[in-house]
Amino acid sequence: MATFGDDLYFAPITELHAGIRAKRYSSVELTRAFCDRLEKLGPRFNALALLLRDQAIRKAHDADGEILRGRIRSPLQGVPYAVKDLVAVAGHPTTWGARPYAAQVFEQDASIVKRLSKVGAVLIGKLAMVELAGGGGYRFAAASLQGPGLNPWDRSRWSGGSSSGSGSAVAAGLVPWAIGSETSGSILTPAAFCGITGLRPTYGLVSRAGCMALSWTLDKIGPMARSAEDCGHILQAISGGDSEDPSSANKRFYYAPQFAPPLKELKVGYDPADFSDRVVAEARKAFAEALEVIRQLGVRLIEAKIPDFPYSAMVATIISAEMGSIFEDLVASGKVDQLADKRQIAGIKVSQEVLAKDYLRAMRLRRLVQREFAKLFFDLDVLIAPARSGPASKISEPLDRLTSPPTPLIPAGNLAGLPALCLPCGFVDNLPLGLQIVGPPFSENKLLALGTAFQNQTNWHRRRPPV
Amino acid sequence: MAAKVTRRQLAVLAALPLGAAESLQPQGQPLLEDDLAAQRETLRRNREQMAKVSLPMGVEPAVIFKA
Repeated sequence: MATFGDDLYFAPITELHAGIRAKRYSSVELTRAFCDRLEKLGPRFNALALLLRDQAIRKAHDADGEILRGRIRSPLQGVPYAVKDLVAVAGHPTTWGARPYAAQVFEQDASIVKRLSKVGAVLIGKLAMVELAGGGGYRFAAASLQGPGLNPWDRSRWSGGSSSGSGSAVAAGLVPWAIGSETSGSILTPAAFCGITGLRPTYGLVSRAGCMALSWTLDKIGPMARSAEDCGHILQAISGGDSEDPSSANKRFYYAPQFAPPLKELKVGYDPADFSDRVVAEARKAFAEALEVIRQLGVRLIEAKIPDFPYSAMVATIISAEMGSIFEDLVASGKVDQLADKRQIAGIKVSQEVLAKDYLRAMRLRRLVQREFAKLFFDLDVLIAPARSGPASKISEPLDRLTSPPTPLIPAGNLAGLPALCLPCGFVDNLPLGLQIVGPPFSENKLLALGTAFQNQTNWHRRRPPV
Repeated sequence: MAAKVTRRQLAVLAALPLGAAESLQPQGQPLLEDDLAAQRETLRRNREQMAKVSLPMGVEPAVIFKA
């Protein structure tokens, strides 16, 4: 029986997979170890929704057998992971983080769970989330079936939302990687607050079939992991067309770091104000140093400004209108009142009153946003900016008066369907900060190449919280 | 619906977490009526902000959205 130390709980995917192949431990042993850790420490961060130990051990047995026979499917084979609790897993509760759905059970796995099963990844659990992904505009971090997502770096701080359990579980080494989702900031925010690497894929690249819908035209599913490289391997496994998802772009992603363009050819746009005036004072030094690391990589740093649109108003209107339709029955039944957060309850009720002309105006403006970003990326390969303007907020802090609000590139990038990579880029008061790299649609390999180069020069992504 | 979930699992899901969430809910939250008013005000503000952007008739909504 192998013994596992902290190094293994924080090891990258490729190293864990290599350990199985080298027979240092089996997938079953690795899975048991992570199940034990997730079960023991998950509740400490309100991160665990449901442990799937028995089915995980069975899957790990299968992976061990295949690896022993030399049938290698992917670096994810035999490696444990967990999903945000809006991803359906057949025969088990999928609560969407919300009390009205606490007993909801689907008969079919979500498409991404099927894909990950095919490559031999081992699903060990479901992770907590903000109720209904927070579409109603919640006021407190406690808006979740499991309670507020607590940050492994400081449990008096929020882990971010809405993929709160995915963020804290990966950061605390309870799972090697996890699946999160983003409508507008729900991967990038917990990745930034928890000090992990999160990838929001291009809209349509990853199937959402079997996942809760909040906004059909904004929802994306993506990986949350320890490094850009890990995100690349995961995205390769989960991307691809799906007839079950009408938004599917019918494209596959192949992680190809070997074909990444030379960094000196990469044109990286940034707005100096994003790294000074628009971030909290105590975080400015760390963000400025992160920008300097990017400069030292040899890229061409070019000053740029994102187009001026009322991004937050647009994204809020679109989410409200689409959510209003999606959760119409929840409101009509009165079960909406069972949600934990009063502001969220009010937001979902008021979503029934959004005017068609307002929704259409937001969607028409969105077309202009797409055009303007296409023009911007004619001269640039990627944009960089802080993901959040500061570190994780306090658990008790009302979210409508945040000290670390998101930067405009988060709603802008989501409206335009653009991919984004969030990297840990420094610390302030022992709390992590995140940097986002955003590119044109389907430019994930470029984002990952720059992210990997950054992580080769820094050790922020290797830091571990005091778990 | 499949019935593989045990009654014990359901009981844990239905009972304990709500208590956890409620106990961590900060005190002194505004009344629901205030929240409804705040959310309606947000809708109105969003409408106002979007109205400031000039929008030619030829710009069609991104109804079928492909990146």
